[in-house]
Amino acid sequence: MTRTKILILPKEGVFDPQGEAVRNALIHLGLEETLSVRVGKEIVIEFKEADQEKLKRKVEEITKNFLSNPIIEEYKIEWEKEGQ
Amino acid sequence: MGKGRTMNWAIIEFPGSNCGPDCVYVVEKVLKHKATLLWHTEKKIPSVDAIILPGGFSYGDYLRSGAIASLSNIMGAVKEAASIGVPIVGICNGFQILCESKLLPGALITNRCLRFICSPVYLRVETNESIFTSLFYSGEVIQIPIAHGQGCFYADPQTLQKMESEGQILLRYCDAKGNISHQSNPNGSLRNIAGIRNLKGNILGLMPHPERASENELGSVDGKKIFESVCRYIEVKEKNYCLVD
Repeated sequence: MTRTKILILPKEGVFDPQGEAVRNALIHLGLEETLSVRVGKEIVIEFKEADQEKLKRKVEEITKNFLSNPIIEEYKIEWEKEGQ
Repeated sequence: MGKGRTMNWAIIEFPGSNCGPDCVYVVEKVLKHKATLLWHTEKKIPSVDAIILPGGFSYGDYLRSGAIASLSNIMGAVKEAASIGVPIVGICNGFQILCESKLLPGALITNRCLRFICSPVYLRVETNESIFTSLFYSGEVIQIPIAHGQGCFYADPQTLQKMESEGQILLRYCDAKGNISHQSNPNGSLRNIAGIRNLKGNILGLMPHPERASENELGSVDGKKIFESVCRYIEVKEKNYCLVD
């Protein structure tokens, strides 16, 4: 089994109201040092064994065109094999 | 406005759309035209004069508003209709679907205030030189309600500049006198954008709900004029074709 974790965050410069609300809450909780917070999403997908190169290319393409919206978001893809 | 022939409007519904019946009501009872409700699994759209993508919460707004709906079977047919010039109106979630489908530029993100806003708002009609606004005058202030949590329009600076220079911004949030300001911007949209059209001019996306402002009983008939503008465009186009023939 192969597992991938896709981290999606609002792009730098795109206002993130959720992040801003959380930032205010952190300051309220005493974390006055907080400069900025960005709230995104994490998508975890598990795959059966497959051609790894093909799988990675396809996941990259789908993440770029569907799972994230390049107008407002940036993403990072992390891969791990079973047992890691 | 004179009543021409009966026009056929397709209204497309996705799992989670909830404004389709309101649009059918306006088309049939107010405009006295024919409305056909189409489910998202359809691969073809019958020959129609105009298409509406109504508001709601397609696929529960999962992933991003409109993202999953943009992959529906019927969106292939919507793109085909768009390419041959059929007027398409995307309202609220319909606007989000059109952006996610790349039929319109930009994206709609969470309201700056983080609240779902359901309220009548003032809009300034930026130009009447469009299929959707020809029955207004440029600069006219109208009132149509909004109801959304993710209606903050965003596009990068270059795209915004292009949209401005190409006259793609049709509606902006304003105050009762037509002033565009931070105070009159309910959701934080860049440049107070409430409604835009594509470069070709046949697709409108707007966050306000014109179907909820189509009868006097609802407090405004300004929304009705958007649909009537589309009808006038079709009538004029047909008349011109006849003259050419």
